[in-house]
Amino acid sequence: MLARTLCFALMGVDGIPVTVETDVSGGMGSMTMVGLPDASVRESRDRVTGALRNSGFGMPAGKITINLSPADVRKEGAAFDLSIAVSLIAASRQAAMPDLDNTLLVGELSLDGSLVPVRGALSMVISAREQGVEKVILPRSNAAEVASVEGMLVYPADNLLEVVQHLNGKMPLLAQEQIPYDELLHAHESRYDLKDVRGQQGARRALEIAAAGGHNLLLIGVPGSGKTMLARCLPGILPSMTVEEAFETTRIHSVAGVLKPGQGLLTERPFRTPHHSASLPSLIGGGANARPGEISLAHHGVLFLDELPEYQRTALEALRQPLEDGEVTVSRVKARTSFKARTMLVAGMNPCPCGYYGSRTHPCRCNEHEIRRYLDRISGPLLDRIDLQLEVDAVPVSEINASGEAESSRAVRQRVEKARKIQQQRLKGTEMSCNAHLQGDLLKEYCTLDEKASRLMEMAVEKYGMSMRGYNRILKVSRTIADLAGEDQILPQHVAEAIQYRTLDQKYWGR
Amino acid sequence: MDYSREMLCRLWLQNADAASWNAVKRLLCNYGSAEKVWDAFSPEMRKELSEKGYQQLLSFRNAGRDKQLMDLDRVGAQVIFDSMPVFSERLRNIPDAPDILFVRGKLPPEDCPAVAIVGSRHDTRYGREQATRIARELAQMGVVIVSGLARGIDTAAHEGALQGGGKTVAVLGNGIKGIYPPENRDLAERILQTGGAIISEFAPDSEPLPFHFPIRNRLISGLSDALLLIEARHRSGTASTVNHALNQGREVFALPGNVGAPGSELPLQLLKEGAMLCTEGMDIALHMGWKKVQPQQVLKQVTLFDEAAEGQEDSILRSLRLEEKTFEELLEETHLNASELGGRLTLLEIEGKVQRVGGRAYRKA
Repeated sequence: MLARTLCFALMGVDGIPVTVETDVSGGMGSMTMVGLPDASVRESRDRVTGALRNSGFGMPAGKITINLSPADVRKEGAAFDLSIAVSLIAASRQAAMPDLDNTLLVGELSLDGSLVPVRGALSMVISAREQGVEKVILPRSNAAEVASVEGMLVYPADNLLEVVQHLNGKMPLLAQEQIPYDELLHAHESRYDLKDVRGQQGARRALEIAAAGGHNLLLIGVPGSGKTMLARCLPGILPSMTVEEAFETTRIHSVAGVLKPGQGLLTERPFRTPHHSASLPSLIGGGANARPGEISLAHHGVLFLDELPEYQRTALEALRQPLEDGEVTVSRVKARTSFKARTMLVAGMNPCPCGYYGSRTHPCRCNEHEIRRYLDRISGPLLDRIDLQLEVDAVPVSEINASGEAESSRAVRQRVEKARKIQQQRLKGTEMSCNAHLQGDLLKEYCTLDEKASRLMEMAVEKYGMSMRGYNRILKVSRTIADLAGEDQILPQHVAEAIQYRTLDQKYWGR
Repeated sequence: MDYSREMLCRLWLQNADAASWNAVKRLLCNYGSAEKVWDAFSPEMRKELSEKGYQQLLSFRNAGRDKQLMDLDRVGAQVIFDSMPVFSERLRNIPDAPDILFVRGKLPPEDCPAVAIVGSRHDTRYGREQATRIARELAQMGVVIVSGLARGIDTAAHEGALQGGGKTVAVLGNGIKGIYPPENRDLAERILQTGGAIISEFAPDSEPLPFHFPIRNRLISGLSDALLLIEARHRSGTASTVNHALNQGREVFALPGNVGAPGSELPLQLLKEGAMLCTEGMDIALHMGWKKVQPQQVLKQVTLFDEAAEGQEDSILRSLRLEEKTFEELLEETHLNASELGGRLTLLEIEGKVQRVGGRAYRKA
């Protein structure tokens, strides 16, 4: 007899419906699996055999053919185990299951029949809903991840027996209640709070501007000056993710398999800190089957690269295009996929190899030549994509011990949200959402300077020998500063404040 | 310039590496002249010269005497001997004086006062700024600045001399055909364009070997009337320059640094032992009794309250009056918020009233 079950294969962050067709007929005992299964899918026959046997079912006798349709899409991963097992049971008439067509079955099986979580569950469920599928059975550890998806009946299950008993109506599973996104949102508060940062008024202000305009940020400072702490506070002052953003980000994390078991929809903006030994594919995305890289995992969040000059130069250069486009296209022989990568880049670095160039307490052991070589590892084009550059000084011990709390992340976030709202209003109908993305005509339209402000810009261009790109970046940052101040027009003081974040170009790089 | 056969033979002998120089001297002594050494050159001399030195001389001998002049011509260098009138009078009188020098550019006239400015390659911002400033001041008075074209203080001294529109002389620790360190090639070019000179006594092709530098240092002090030490540790190459200066009877000046800073070790010790303290170019000129040099307006205006006017910019300038301050310190003293202060500082910087220095510190320009 023939039985059909429904599953989904992953293609980038999208799910593609896959029908598992199983035919059991008389003849010599054999089992073939067709439809481009890769090694991990082919292994599933052994897992399924064990799971069936240990759940009280038997492996049917006769000639078994399993077809994963469509046959031309390559399938990988263990998520097909459950649908294969159920279709085998149905095909051999060990249990009657009427409603197989409309139920998505996802899950890896262990030999004792229990369900093991899979990666990409969220993507599969969302794609299934778009295809008109109404029910899904999946491992309990994946349930939280899809809890906020609307219009889908989610049945979390623990083992194969439960699934079969549910499907033939003997012992129905309880559907999981949908959790609205807003409820999740209130539960979250970032672990790193600006109120724990001592001093650093200058850096706090820069962080606020970066957050308000979505600008990339470079922190230059001696070791121990708090670059990492400052960067970690950034997600806490960024506006909360919208539902759409949360779904987009969680899907990428789900596909990459980095969600913790039982983790629901991500509510906190991701903060990714790849080590500087990271390879190009791990940063950008890639691998034989095109997995998302760190820059995509940081989608709608922050990508923090500490010790920027220590990264492989090729990896850094490859960041340029996604930083500009907010998207990476990974092309491989077997797959070609686009991953979203709209992220804020925050980079930290020392001013020189020993770290103490310009320090007032430590002598620097580097000579000019060494410093030059160190700084030259960061190319001009990459630097051009970083709107704000900031020198961070170590905080004196007396200030660290001083009592009293600084302004909290929550207070800063409120100002940031206000500024973002102004930007969204202004950019309504375009693909952009914040000042950092302004380009071309829109930049000209929204960043007009009055006479005094343009005079100031001219003087700065002359004094610091700025390039056209540097000029445009100052314009964008000025716009953000004006938005923070609630001003329609960019005033000279906004420009003046913005200029200080670009003057390092000249000092360190002589550009 | 016409060279005698003897000179060409002497030039040929200079192609031996510096480690063989003593052997070369002995040969000259034994045979009586370079010409005779050339004529008598044979594998026998391996005993006297090192194997390396012998091979070097052999290959140059095979190339012919005139080839070496053409090679030098190609890099714009010439060779001068102590028997020539253009040879530096000051160098003739030092112990262990060289008898042959390779020169690019033009040696400054003998009656020009000259000061050597030397210091560590591991310099600090302070040292570099002072070296540049004092070199500039001296150059403006018409003093020639001599240094070694090394990284750090040497570079700053040459730069300062060029800024002051003066002449400067760089003494190399490698052959005249090369420039080391490579990032100073541009500086070397500018030294030549402004009428300065680059000097070396090593074989024209030789590398900057570590033991060359102490040998080279005697020329730096030897070419000068006085030596100014800026930053150096106790046991450093710079200390050897100071010793040469003392042996050659040159006046030694030192610029004080912070007590406890590594670069202050040698200057402070020398000051205790009686070196002259120098904080500006005029100190040297006055002590040396150089009549020709014109004291410029050295009196700085000491004004304490001229900026006491109201306004926030003035409050920034006021707190920067005595020393540089970090952004955070300024925040505290001016009671501005970070946004305002950042903007004000940029304006002041563009107007040229404050300067941004290392870390996130500012000072009055």
